[in-house]
Amino acid sequence: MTLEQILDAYRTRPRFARQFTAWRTFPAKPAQVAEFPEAMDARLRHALARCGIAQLYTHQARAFAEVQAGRDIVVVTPTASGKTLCYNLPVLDAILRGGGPRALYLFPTKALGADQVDELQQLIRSLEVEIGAYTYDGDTPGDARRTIRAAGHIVVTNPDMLHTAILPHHTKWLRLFENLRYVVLDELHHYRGVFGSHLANVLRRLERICRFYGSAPQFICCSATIGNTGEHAARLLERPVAVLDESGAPSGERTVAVYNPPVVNPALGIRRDAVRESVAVAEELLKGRVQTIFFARTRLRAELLTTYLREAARRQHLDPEAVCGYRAGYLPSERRTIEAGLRRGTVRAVAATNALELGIDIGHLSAAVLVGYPGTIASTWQQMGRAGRRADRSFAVLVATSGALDQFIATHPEYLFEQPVEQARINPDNLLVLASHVKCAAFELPLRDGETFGPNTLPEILAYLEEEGVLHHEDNAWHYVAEAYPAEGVSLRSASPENVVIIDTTDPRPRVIGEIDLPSAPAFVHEDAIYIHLGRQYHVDRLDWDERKAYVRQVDVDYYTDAQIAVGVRVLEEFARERDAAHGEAAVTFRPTIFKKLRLATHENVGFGTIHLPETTLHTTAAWWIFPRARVPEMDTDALEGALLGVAHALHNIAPLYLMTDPRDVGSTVEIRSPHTGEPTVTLFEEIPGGVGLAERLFALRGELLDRAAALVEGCGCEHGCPSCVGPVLELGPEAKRRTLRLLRDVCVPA
Amino acid sequence: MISPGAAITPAAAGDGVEILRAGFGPGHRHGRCAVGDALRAIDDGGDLGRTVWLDTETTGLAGGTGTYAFLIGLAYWDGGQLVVEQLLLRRLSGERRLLTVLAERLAGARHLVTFNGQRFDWPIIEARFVLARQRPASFDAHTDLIYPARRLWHRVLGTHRLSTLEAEVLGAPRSRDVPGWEIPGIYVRYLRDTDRAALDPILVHNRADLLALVLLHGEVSRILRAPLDAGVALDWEGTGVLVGRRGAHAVAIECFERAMLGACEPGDRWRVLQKLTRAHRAAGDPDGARRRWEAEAGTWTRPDRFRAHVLEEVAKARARQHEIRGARAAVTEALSIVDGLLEESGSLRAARAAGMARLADRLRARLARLIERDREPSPGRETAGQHARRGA
Repeated sequence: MTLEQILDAYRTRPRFARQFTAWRTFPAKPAQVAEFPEAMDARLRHALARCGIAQLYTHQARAFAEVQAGRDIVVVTPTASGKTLCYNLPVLDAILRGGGPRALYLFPTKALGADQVDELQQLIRSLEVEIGAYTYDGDTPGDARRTIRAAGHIVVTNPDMLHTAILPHHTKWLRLFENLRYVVLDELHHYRGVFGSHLANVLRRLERICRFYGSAPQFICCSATIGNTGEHAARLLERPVAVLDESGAPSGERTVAVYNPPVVNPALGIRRDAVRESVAVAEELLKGRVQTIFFARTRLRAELLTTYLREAARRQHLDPEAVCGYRAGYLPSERRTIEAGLRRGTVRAVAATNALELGIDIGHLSAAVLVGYPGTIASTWQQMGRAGRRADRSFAVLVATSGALDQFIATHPEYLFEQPVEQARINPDNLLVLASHVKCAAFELPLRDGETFGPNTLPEILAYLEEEGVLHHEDNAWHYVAEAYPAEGVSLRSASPENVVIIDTTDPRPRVIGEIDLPSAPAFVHEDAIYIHLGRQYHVDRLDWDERKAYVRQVDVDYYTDAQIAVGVRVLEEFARERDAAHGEAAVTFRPTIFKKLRLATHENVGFGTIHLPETTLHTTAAWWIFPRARVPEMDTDALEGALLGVAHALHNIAPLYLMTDPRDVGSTVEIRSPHTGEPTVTLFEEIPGGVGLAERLFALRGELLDRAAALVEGCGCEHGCPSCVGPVLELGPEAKRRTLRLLRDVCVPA
Repeated sequence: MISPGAAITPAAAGDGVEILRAGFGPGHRHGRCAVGDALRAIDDGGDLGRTVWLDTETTGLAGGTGTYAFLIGLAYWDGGQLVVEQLLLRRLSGERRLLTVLAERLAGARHLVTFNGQRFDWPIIEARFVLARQRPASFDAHTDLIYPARRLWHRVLGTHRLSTLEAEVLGAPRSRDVPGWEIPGIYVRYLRDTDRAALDPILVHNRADLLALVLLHGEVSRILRAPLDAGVALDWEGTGVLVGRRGAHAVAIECFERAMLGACEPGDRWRVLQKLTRAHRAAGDPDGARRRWEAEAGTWTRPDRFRAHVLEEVAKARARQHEIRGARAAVTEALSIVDGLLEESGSLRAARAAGMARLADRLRARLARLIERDREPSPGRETAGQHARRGA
């Protein structure tokens, strides 16, 4: 069966046809090409010709011209549109012209950097000119490092290495910094939130060091589509950046659809499980041997998908090994094998988390199935973009879950097609982030009085650091005098750099099968958890928290586990308050409590256990809404708690639409009597240490959010409340929907 | 400690830099050693005047551009005495001047000597020069004594820290010395309260380090020239390596033989034997290497894995000298040992047994090759033939 026929079947067979709430077909787009620019070095043209490239796409030619004209640029292009030439051509051209210019390439991950060096070296080989292009990362051996420092025309690295290894040792990189002409920043959209805020500061440090050595590099950036590419790039680089967003690359005809699984319990508003339903939809694709990628929101779902897809593959007489999982926590070698399998076509289906969303080269697939709304429109299009061939037809479908946001999208699919894509937000002047980079900057070069580094709060930060014994002021400059190496204590990523290693003890010879970041460990590898890896189940026998090791054993059971984490919030400082709403700084504690055992396929509860692990604390910013007790005399404590949970559920679900952020960047909690406000309170907090400004935005939207949440609950088709509006009614009580609405409509007066 | 005999004179001050100077005559003793003896042992090709010993104190131990070298201690031979000169940064803003003075002092020097300076002191000084936009001084040679010191003493003393070497090798234990890890903190406190007296213990510490550096250099030079009559406890294995590198293979062999006397575990014996027989071959005596393996086979008679390995080496050495029958005998015995061990492999760990099986396979292949060679009428021609085939 061809993809064409499968799509026809979806439209005509009643089993599926009714469930599609959107079905749009985008016509094929021919390539737009341009001749090689006049200014381009002849050797480069010949090399391109040898690689089979006779013309450029228009965006590549324009990028070349803009860079030649001395502008900083950001190129916005879909997946696989030849964006690497947008930076490799101007850089190689400049190197060929002589004068010894150098370039620094930054990729968000090591794997992407390695990918790029391979491609770059192929082009250099066909140039037949001696040009040194090297990766410099944690795996680079000591003597190779010296060569790279002395002779690397192009140094490929990641922001973390620039931050911890290159900038603090800039005198060893004298040759690079003196001659630095270009900085390439790929995957710019990835640098948002806390990572982006850190990167902006690392770039401030880079500019400082370049000034010291008398260079002023030009920036060439690439980004996937986001709502504010130019603004985001300008915020990161702190200068205007020319946006090139018209791709000349061709694309085949594409169909994009939204699929809402059938309702199985109308009263409770429960729909058929999205994972199961996705597998049903995908079985047709497997049958037709259409190479397909699945995106799941969580690691657990990716593993469940892998398990079910393998069963489906068996039914379709397809080798189950041709179905793979792909997520963070797999070993790098496992990932490389799967990527290669996808490119060669031996892997026919892959169930991935957003770990595959980044520009990792897996070739062109024919179909993409998104199991659940990824949380942002930008990620939706990026994930759907994984299916798309230059000539042939492709298909991408979003299968909605029962969650509120998913149901909103499924019932209002126009939102997906018409709403502008989210904006990337960073806050480089977040005090915590800024202060840690001021330290690093002073370590690299003393900060002169009157020198600027970010906002004008610098004098206060410097005074604070002097008090802490980190800096010493003398002769119009701030000198770093602490003993510690400052970059070591500053991680650029929101996730803590620490990991828990997962060790399989099934065989007498224990073996590391994966790893998990520390904050996620209590939920996934607590004792007696069922941890799923590559579709196999493992029982966690022991979690050694101090040693950061989880010991697991292969098992075959018919359930999985789901951990509950109790969240507590303590307000440290109130920044602003308007009637019944406020925002400020807070300490949030996470205490793992129990876990549920849920049967595979039916998700019914078959038991539970206790988790014994220490609680963790997050210092962040939060916004909260007060629902004064006196205004709801009719509710007893249980009723009030149910209603508050309903409010929190609705607010938490609606907030990402306004914040234009990933739902996981925000958490929520409720209190019957908050120690800070003395009243029933619902708090939304940022899941990022120090916050990146989301809480302040929530406060600014305080009234609108309540109205919107009320509209969501009211407009929901369920009777008493459902996961799509106020949350699972079995836990909240049958009156939850009515009571939640009462709180939202009548009780809180936010302005 | 430095004896009170040395006069410490402030040589210059101002612009945030203080310079202190002290002189030590040839008769000045530090523990068992005298300055004059040490310099004679070093000699340095008769160009002692162009050698500089250097040791720094810094604001941090991790390195990087934010680490200041606030005290740079230099020692050099001048006018019949060893001069110890210390450049102290009294204010961070004086660094440019400090580096200018340092560059002047180093201008005529060709040979730099440090302890751990290749990884620590010198990269920091180079970074300081670059940051001050000055050209770093350059040398023909940089001797870092930490490397020979590690070879000579680490296994004997359990450490190769300078203070331990000073006590154990030079016989000059320090008392009331400021611990190294306290030094950055003391200096940072000084920057705030400018209590100059607080820095005195650091200056004393640095002078002691420099004197120890010069005398240790003397000891290392003396020992490497004639290790067998050194008169101090040495790690003979490490000594053999150092001496061998200088081309004194006969002495190296003797050092390794002494190391063998103390090596009881198979692992240690194996490691030293490798070096020992390599030294025989480097000395142009492959026969000596063969005899040494044979002697070991005669000493170590327990039929274990170690003996099997030794017998394999015996076979290889004999085969190289075309003693095919002897080689076969050795391999056959080695194989019977390994097969015997494999039979009891129930008691062996899986990984160990797998290694053993690989050894057995290798021995069988070797035996097959030997049997093949034994049949050939002329081994010389066969070898040539094989080469020709490989070349084709």
